[in-house]
Amino acid sequence: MWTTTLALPVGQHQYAFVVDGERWVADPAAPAIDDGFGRRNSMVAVSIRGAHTL
Amino acid sequence: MRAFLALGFALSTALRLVAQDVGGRLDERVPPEVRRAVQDIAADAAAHGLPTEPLVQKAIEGGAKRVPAERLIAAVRALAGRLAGAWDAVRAGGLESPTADVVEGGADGLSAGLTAGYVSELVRASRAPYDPALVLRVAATLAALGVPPKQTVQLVEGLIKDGGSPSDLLGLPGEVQAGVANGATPAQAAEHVGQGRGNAPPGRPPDFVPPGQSKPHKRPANPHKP
Repeated sequence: MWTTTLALPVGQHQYAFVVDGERWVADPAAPAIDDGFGRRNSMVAVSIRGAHTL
Repeated sequence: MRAFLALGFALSTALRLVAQDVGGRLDERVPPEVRRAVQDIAADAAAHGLPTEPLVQKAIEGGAKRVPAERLIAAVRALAGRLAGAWDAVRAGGLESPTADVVEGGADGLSAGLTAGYVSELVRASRAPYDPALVLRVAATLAALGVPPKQTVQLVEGLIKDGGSPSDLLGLPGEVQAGVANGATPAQAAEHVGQGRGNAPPGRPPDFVPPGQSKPHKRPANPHKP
């Protein structure tokens, strides 16, 4: 399993995983929103108490 | 007349700078035709006082995802339209000169299915210490989770009325998501979260006390609430 740690400012952020350098995949464990291109981006909220994986 | 000419020159110079900046940032990240189109869209957005950063970010995202040029340009144009709609809705909510963050939050809300009227309502409900940009982004996330728009607005407004902290506000989507993970629908989870926060059931006054129960102690007033 791959992991990464990112420092993000407080607020809402959109993200997606890039598989094999070419396939963009939304996080199945997070809410998702239309990315405008017909795909989905995942959303994460960062508060002063830490990240909510939503 | 001279003043108008000077103003016009300053405006056209500013718009040219926006286009140059956007073009420089998109260089080698998107095809040339996309770069030119996004430069035009961004310059037009800037001329109307709209933030251009989300347009640049969307173009970069599309480039990274190798989205076909035509579709990428359409997505950036659609985003510009949502930003314009959000700008109007936020101003209708009482913010005469909204920041870029608030307009972006409003656009997120529209993208997630909130109406312009709900965006205005949420802006009206946001007062210190609640940042309207944060309120709108939280509402957008709740709507993206599948909470019906009307219920999303009620849940957020309920927390504000109840004096919850901005951090509590930011935690709302996580609470709803936890309920969904336990098998509830988004609407059921949101209702449960709202009730847990002391929101009155629909149709009953905030100080409603069921027969046979004593009135609960009042929570101390929020010192940050005006």
